[in-house]
Amino acid sequence: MSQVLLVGSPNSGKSLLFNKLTGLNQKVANFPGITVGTHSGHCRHYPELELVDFPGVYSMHAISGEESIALDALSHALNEGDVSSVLCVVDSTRLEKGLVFALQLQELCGRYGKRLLIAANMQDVLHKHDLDFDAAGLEKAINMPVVPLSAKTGEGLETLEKVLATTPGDITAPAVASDIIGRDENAYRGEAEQLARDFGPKGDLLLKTHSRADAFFLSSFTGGVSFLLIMYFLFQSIFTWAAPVMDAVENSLLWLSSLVLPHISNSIAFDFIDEAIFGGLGAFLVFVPQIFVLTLMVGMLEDSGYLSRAAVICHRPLRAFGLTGKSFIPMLSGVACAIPGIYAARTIESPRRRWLTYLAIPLMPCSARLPVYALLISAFIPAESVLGGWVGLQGLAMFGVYLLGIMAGLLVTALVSRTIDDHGEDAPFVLEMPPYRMPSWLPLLRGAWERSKHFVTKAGPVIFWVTMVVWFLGYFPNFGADLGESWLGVLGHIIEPVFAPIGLDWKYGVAIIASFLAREVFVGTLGTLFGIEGAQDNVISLSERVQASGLSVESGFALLVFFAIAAQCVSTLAVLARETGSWKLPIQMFIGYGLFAYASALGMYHLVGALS
Amino acid sequence: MIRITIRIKSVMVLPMEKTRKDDSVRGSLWQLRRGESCVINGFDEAMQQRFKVRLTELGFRPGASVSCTVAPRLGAPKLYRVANAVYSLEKQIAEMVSTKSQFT
Repeated sequence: MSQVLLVGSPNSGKSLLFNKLTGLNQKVANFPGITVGTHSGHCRHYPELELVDFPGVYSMHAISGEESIALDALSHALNEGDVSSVLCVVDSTRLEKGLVFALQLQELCGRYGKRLLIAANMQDVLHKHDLDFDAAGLEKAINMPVVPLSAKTGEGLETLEKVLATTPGDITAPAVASDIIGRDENAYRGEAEQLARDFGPKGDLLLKTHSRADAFFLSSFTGGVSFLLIMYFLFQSIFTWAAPVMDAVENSLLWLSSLVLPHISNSIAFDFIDEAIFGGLGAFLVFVPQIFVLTLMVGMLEDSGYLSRAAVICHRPLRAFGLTGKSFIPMLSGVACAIPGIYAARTIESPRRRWLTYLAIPLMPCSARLPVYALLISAFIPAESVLGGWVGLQGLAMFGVYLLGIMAGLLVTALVSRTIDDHGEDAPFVLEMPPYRMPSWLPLLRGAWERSKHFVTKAGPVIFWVTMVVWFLGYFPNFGADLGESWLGVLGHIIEPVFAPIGLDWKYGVAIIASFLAREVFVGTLGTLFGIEGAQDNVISLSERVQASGLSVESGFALLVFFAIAAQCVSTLAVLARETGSWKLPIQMFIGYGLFAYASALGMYHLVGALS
Repeated sequence: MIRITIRIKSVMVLPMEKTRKDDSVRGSLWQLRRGESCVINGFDEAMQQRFKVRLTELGFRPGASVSCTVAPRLGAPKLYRVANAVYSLEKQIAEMVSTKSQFT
């Protein structure tokens, strides 16, 4: 078994190449810093080769946490691992950029006696524009194998695999200065530019269309308007596109329950399947299509190259809140799930701004909040459209509640940023603009499917066990005759005074307490509780049950606000503890956001009460 | 017959002749307007070494030709093209990169 280390500058197509060679499905996106840890897999055609994908780095001189991690891991692998080759992926359309790092690597690999190969990616783009690339000339000039390929189309992959599978000969360090860090970066850049001029594609066709698109998307007026429209479209699509599939899931569950339940003769088993399984788990499954649509839309933005432009647009406004434009990408990732958002924050060079971004991410409206929002919005906001059918009220409400989470995050960072000093470690905003690309639909659909599957498999067992416990405590000792007199009812009445000021009865209190494990548990718990109360058709009527439960509009809005702010995700807090190296911040966040959420919910309850 | 008049408010005119070089113009990268190019002269002494290194590796090195492709208003970061890549730099750092010639 031998290792091949995949390295290269950000946006060189490294992870896509890794996926093609291994058959795995690592996340690929069109903006810098998507790979934030090392991933490994075996080469499909040569299983004895283990490929390790490293985060993208521009050079051997790290300026961000993500680059330091990558370079430390690379040095460790070269020192300790059974490495046969290092494969440096460069973007052939911007050759000089990748060659700076390749030249630095050549010296490093020579020291360790490891073979370095260049994978000259994006040949498909060069072919499209009739541009030439002299791989043989470059290979001769830098004295290392250069394989022209396209990770997208698969061109050249067979050749690359064959070269990787061959045993490398004796490797010696090239005759250059001995200290990599001490060597003048100007010399590396100068050499890279000369090589790109001599052997790279001639002409700048690739940039003309991008400049026109940039002029539109980054203009002070059209850029701002298009940004708002894109974000609005993102949230509107969650309701409109997912609705037919949600109906299909509901109907399937109904059909399944009508098929299964008549065959169950034992009354306790019948009640359990009906109330806990179809009522609890089923109510949660209905919202999975919305998570699929959300992931698909965020993936489309990532793939198109627009996210880097959005970071530029947001930089100036975010600076006012102590953040940077680079905080936008982790924050948007946090809209799907806070955990990848926290990892993505590694790309922020400034420790202070990275820390502030950590504060904002748990307040981003993640997909786990989506079932709760969707349930409450469908219970209280009519499914009607205004402005000639262009604006759906439910979508508008969803946009509003998402905006609330974002604004809460910005408010917190603005307040906290004024109390901490940067100790001169602040880093300026320098961001590479990747080329615009048409999103590849198949990987996007696969990614959204994987994300939804991961969501179900990760949250499913938690919801299952919580609904089991909730059902057990709510069903006994009187076999579902009176929920209020059950063990759960007794416990619920003890905590009821805490939630009474925002108009919530003990059932909602129990669901909120259960949701501190994971937010989505709220929906499953309510489904189970209302199921025990004795009505049929648990799955389709949960939002109607919420209305029928006597929950007032002001309490519904207060609940929305509470879920928008409270840090109810054990996994997020654990990842944050790992990233910051301490439990201090997660504990502060859990308590602080909990109190903030409660106070804001109370404020909203009285505000809506006064207005209605 | 219906006559349609289209009024074009502003047009970016590509130069027919060779670009005009003005060696007397000295300033910072941030002063570059959209469509203008310059040659990098050096970095401000106050800039941290690690950022000088990174900018040099990205191509913003003394003697390199850089052009401004997008310059949004309201102080938003500008886009600069160096070789075949485009980078966005905020005012804080672009002001610390000095230029010695300007092309229009």
